[in-house]
Amino acid sequence: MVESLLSVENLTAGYPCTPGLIGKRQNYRPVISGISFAINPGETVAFVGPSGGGKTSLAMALAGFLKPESGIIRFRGEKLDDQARGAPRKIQLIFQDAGGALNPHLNIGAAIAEACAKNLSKRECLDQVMHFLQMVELSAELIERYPAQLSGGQKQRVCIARALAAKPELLILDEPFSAQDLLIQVQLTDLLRHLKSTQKLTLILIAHDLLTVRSLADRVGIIARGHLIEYEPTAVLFSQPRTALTRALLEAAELDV
Amino acid sequence: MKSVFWHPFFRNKNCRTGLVIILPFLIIAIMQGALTRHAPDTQNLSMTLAAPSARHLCGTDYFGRDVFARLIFGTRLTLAMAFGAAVLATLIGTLIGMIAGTTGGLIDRVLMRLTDVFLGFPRLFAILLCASIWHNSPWLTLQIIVAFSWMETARVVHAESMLVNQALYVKAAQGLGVSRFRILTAYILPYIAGVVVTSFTLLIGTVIIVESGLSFLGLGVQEPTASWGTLLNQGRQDPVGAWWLSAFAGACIVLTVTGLNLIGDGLKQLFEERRM
Repeated sequence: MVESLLSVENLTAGYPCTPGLIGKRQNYRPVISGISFAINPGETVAFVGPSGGGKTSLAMALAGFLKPESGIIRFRGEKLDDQARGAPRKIQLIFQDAGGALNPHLNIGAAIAEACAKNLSKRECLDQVMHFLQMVELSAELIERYPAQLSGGQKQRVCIARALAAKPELLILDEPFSAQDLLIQVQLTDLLRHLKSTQKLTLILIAHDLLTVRSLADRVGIIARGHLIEYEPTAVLFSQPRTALTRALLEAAELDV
Repeated sequence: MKSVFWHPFFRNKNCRTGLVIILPFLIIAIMQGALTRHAPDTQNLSMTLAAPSARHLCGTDYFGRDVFARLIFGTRLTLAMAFGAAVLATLIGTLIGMIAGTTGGLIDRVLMRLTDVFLGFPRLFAILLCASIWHNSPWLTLQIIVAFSWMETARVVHAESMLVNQALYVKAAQGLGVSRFRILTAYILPYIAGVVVTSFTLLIGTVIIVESGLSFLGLGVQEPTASWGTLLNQGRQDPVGAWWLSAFAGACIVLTVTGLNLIGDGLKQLFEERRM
């Protein structure tokens, strides 16, 4: 039996909603609760669901930006909290707002170099930056540019290049196709497929449209109101949707169920 | 950097006006002795309290010393003290604000309550108390002013740091394993640079007023050292009869503080425009 790359057991996470008078948390509002699933190495999993359902919070919790209230996240069998601080995380998250995820004061070369290993010389680091820019099909000329001088699609690719430079084993992409025109969506899908095959990456895609993830995902999970209501291989989910919400999502995607 | 910063700086009316006001004082502080043939502490007891004339442009004081020479020599001391105190207070305020704003938890609460305690303490009373306890010297005056001037900067920097610490690009950097020092210097500091520079400029003006006030009360820089404050102090004995003693020093203070406040306001506008 293949050991899971990532396993999540009964995960509950959320945000404090009313801070106490002396700084102690008084109230806690969970945004995801009781979520359990496992991902095998090399798999691509998509989490789909209506807005506000908890998809991004799940991504944040998996990437270590949201502390779980209860439940366990295991990566290669180890608890996620045990990851070394100061080292690049093995799970990298590409934020939905690619522009906001790039430091406006650093040029693209410096932004990607942040993820390169600390013991590299300047020359080696530059070579790495060029390599990763090439990997995401961006021109080397962009190296001197600042985020404000790039298009939305280019910013997203820079974020992917930067995440790849950190040598992740699991890459989470939060709504990579939203706010992108059709042509960019197709290019991005091709790029992800290419990266998946060449880099042997395990991917998690967060999306609200089932159609966009159909050709990429091996498995799809439906998240609504903080719960994982369905988690099936893509073909099964598309052919035999169990819940009304999945059927509604499929209909919304104008698919013939 | 030049094209980004300097060009808008000169196009901003407040910055331009402020610079025009400040520049002569900076030139005076640098050239000092070359601008007058009188020494600031040479006494001429046969010419005490002479009104302004062609020989003594700003008149003479109780000891027959040339007020113009004392103003010119006092400019350097006053500006040096103001810049020095403002640099130190800005550094302390920025460090405390940044550490508290980005660390959170107990450290944040302790540092901010400390800031509140200093803010709540009546500043003038505290400065007067310290100045009357210890012996006066320009360096001590500077230290006392610094000790009670960093809190506003700390408050503003704290708020800004908390805001930028939640930015996605800071989170992304944390995920990439970027060190805390690097995050503070390359991610947080460039974002808060605007408020730091603005608060520094405004602080210089405040320090000039505090220093002058202390010297006016006889608690700051002491005679025979010339500073704008000591000149004001001399003038208080006969503000009408010997008006030139305090009038010129007062004008210097008003002009410099106005100029610095104009530059501070201008910089604030510029940095806000850049953020939008």
